[in-house]
Amino acid sequence: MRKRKELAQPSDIAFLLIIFFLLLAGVGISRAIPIEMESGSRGADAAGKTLSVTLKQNGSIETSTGVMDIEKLAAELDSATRLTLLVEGQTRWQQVVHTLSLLSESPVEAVNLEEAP
Amino acid sequence: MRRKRTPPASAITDIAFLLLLFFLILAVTTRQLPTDISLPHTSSAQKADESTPTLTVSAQGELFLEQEAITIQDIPFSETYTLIADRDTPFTHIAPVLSQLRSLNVEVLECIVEER
Repeated sequence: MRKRKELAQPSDIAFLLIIFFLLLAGVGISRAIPIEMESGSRGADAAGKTLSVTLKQNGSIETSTGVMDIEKLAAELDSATRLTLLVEGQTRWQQVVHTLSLLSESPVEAVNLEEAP
Repeated sequence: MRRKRTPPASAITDIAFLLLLFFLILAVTTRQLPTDISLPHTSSAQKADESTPTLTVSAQGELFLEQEAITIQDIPFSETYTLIADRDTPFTHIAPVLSQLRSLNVEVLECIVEER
């Protein structure tokens, strides 16, 4: 008598493997960039130097010394610096997030986000 | 001529339950958004805290707390917030939200991104 072909076994294993690898890959786990909000007295009491720079709509950074790339600015920042990022109103959120992401890799102590006047 | 053999009923229910399990996991782990949002992408980000209240800002500047549309003045106090904004949202729509969160003494804001 011929052995009956089981349909359940391979498909069960395949689906269980799919679910296992989906969970392993972190399906649904959100990723985020944290911003420490300098609210009220906390920001005012902070020691160290505060640097204000403007994020332009095209992604460039305007400092008191001129216009530069965000990568160059991130390399110049040290751990005692608190950065106030003044963002131009029409700048896309993608540009702001990209800048925050690069700044999070620099040793800067805190970043404060504000709209440029 | 070979007779077509129907698969056993138990095999079909096995597949049905596995499919159900698959879609249940997918539905539970996927964040539900109140509007159509394209997340900004970055190269590096941290794991987000899923338990904090979520504010969503659409590309047109509409503000939602979880699934409900609210005004900036209606944002309640919480030590931490999660912000989901469309990648094309102009900063001028987000700045008033940040300003309100600052006035509420919110300490940490987590901006949800898509890591690439």
